[in-house]
Amino acid sequence: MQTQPLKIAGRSFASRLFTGTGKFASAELMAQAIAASGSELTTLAIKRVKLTGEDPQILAPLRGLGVNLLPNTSGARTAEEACYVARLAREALGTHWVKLEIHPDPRYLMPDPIETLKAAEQLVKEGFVVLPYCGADPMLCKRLEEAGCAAVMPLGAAIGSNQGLTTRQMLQIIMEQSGVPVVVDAGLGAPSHAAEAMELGADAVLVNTAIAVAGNPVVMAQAFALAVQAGRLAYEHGLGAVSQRAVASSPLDPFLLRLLEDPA
Amino acid sequence: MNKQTMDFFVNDSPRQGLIGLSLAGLLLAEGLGRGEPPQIPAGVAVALNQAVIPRLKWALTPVAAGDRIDIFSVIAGG
Repeated sequence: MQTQPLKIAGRSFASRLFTGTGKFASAELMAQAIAASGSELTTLAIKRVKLTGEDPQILAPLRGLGVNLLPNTSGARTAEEACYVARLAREALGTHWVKLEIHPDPRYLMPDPIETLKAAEQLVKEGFVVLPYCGADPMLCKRLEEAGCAAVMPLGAAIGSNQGLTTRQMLQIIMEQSGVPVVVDAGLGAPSHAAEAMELGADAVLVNTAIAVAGNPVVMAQAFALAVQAGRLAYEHGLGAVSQRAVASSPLDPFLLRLLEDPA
Repeated sequence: MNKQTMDFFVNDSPRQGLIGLSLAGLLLAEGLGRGEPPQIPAGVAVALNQAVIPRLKWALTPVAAGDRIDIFSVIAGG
């Protein structure tokens, strides 16, 4: 059963599950899990090399999968640093897509809204396709959209926290208002969280930690893929309305009605 | 200091090299080359004084005294 394809900046995605490459026990396991997830867009980071002779072993297996690469600017603390990292990533990977991430606080890794908006404006001017990781703030998401971002990536919960949709109410407002795709990123710890985001109307979700550190990352990747598809199908095909009171599944028959009218 | 050498910085660490050294030569000197003849693997990006230098220009770009070179590489991340 197919869901409608997702379009971001003119590129079409059949899978609405985006993945990350961090925290896997090995590059081989990472590649197997991403393949199993069916994901067509996966994130990477770019950092100063330590000059100890280690190789970037991660790239070859990803190229083999044919998945689109989305470099992030993780590690940047200011708009200026993020723009610098984005330009380096464009050169290193040959893509002008970038996941803009600016989180200077190491405890909660909360994205800095001011620096993120500044960097988004600059990177859009430079021709980047910008997907900003941001707080679940409807006003900020609107401003990022107006700045020319190709999508917004509000957080469900803190990165790697597995808490699920702690920002559910705000995410609903963001999805209702957004003119660009909404990708719920961060904090999705279980397939049910991903399904919940998709049922709410998210255009996609990004999952990394919950897959990478699972007992079996390859099977967990499949579980997330199924959940994302189920959630999206439900969203596309008319979820029932929520009611405070019971609504009978079958009509009350005359016998029962008589009893109700004349209990004696 | 010997006339033939110059001082510069790679990822903030002080380095010394021969005058006339290119970025490509520097990357090999830093041990980033792989294979025979050694080549710089994909996923590496270089900036000279904060300006990104495309791979095709590494061999043609000389390093000058006092330059600050940043070498970045792709790693796993979410």
